[in-house]
Amino acid sequence: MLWLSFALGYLALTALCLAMNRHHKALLGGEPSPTRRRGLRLGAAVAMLLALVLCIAAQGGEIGAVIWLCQLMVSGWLLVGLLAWRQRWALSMAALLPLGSGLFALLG
Amino acid sequence: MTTRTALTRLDTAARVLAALFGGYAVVYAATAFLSVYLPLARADRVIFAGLACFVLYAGLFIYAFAARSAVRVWLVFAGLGVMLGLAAFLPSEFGVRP
Amino acid sequence: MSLRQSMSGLHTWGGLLPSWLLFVIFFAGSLACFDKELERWMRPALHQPGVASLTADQVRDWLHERAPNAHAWWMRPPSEREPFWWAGWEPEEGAEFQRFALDASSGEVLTDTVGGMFFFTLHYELHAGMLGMYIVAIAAMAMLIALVSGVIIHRRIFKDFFTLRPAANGQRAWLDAHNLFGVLGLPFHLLIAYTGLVIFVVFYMPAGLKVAYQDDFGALFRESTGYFERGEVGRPAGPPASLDTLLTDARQRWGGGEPGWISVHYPYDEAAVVDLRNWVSSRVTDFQWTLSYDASSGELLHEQKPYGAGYQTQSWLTGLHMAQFGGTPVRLLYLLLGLAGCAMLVGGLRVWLAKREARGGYGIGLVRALNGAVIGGLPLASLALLWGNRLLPAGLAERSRAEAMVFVGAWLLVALWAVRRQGSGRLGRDLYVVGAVLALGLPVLNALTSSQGHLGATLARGDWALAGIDLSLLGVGLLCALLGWRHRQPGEVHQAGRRESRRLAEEGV
Repeated sequence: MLWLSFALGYLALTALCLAMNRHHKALLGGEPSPTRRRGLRLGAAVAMLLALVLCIAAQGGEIGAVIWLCQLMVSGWLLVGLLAWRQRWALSMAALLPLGSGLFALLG
Repeated sequence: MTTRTALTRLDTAARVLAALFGGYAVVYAATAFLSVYLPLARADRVIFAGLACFVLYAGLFIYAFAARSAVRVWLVFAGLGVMLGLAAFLPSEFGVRP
Repeated sequence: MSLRQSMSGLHTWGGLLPSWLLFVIFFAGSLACFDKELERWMRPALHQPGVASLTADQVRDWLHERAPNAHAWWMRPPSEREPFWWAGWEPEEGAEFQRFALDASSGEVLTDTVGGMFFFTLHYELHAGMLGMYIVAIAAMAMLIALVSGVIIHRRIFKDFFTLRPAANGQRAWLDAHNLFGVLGLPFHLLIAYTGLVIFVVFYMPAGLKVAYQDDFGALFRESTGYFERGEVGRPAGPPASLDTLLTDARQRWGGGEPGWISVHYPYDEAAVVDLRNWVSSRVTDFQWTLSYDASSGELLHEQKPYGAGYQTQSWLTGLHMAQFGGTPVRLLYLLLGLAGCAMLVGGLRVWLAKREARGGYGIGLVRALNGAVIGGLPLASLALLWGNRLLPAGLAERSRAEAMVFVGAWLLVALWAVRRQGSGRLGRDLYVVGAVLALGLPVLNALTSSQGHLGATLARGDWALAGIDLSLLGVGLLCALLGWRHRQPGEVHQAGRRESRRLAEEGV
């Protein structure tokens, strides 16, 4: 469950990042349209909220919120690290992490 | 040129001293003030005043460097410190109420 | 002077001076997240999971034999992370605590070591007692101010939120890194600096204590925590009640909770009191729910009530700092966030250097030497401490002192080396190579000196607490080896493009 919330946090930050001109250009080429930008931001908010819900379900409101915030920060560094050194992995990670951790949550 | 640098140095030194010591003195007076006047039980007054004091210190520190002149910083700190300190330490019976 | 300029000056100098101290505090604090795991790693006798059969009464007898006239006895039963008994005593009120680790089945004193607690103590008082605590507090306050002024001067917070350009020239790349670690980690940094100060607030700001309690700390402590005390009566103690019976009673009252620290105050006196504290890891607030019993009749004298609003808030904040809740996920996250804090500090120091290396200035040599001595020295000394832990003979007198000497000695050596080599451009490589050798060697040394603690055994039985340490050491060693390989050429003499630094200067950095 906590891996999944981490993955969702990563996904949310990736979406926020893509909503910015500079990173959209670097990762997908071209500038994002206003609609797409709004969609990405909305998606990011939903993913973040979902991550918070998962954290709280796993560890309760108090501890869950702390874990959620810490996870967001750490996933941010992971994202930026990938952007800086392994740019192409950044997007694949956004797909792989939620899939992998989702499977892990289902099986484990 | 040299006098200007010397003046800037003096100004900076005055601000650093004001922030370090003047700031602490004001925070000391303010914490005492809150410990006396917060409408709470004695232990809660002291603890909440303590929790506020670091935020206050950081704020005063920033002010000491943001203010227009070092003289102003010293005047503000002295004024605040004396007022809060007097209000906190004069009514000694009131402060120790449970 | 504009606000940004004055804040920039405050951030640059108010940030630089405590940087090295903050690095020590952050690094030691990060390691201290896993202090109990390190403690176990440093005690090979505990590598083999054993059966805890020693009872509280036996531990009390052990204490009675050694310190019948102590002001208080303290003991802590084994737990999953600490599978042994802590037992010790305060010779007199407020005197230094004498602490021993007892094997949970045989009751024998385990080999003396500084243990993982070494890093915890380094973190909050630099092994310098009260003075160290005040120094750490000043550093934490400086950090709080540096964070606020840093946010004020950083005008592109959101624009550069995800930006890191390692290929850019030195100053730009390091500034990116400093901003990235600072901004993304800002909630954690603010929280950890503030909550760190909150723990001992009354020591740092005694104004409230003076004006509302006339400096009577005991009264404030009793009123805020609801802690029970009764004085000695000066008559000798009768035969003691069984602690194990009291523990059974306490577990029931706690609704199945487990005990943490147990104390017996003035055990020689008729009015001796046994305090049993509930051990909490499911909440942030460490509410101990202390039950106080008469030591000889076993009668319950007092049950601690839930904290008042003030102390509740303070211990919630303290709990957030101590990270004793939420298990391994929280500890791991705190470790990573703490190390990111170290990275922020290193980034800031490198910005300072890169800016001045480009156009010259005072203190460059000193800052470079301190960087090597502290940022290289502390991690290497920590690794050396673990080596000392295994290589010093078990029967050595004052063994934990010798371990500390290994730590200090290794640090001094690195510091001397850093001063000698500063400016040669080879210091980085030297330190990485030493780090790689030390870190990669430790799992091997562990395998040679502990039959049940090596990776083969720990991985096989799923003992992740021990295996995690060996695996992290391997990871750190490999990383150091890689970085050492990258730095095999003497570092380029930093000549950042003047145009770039001028542009940065215009941005108010």
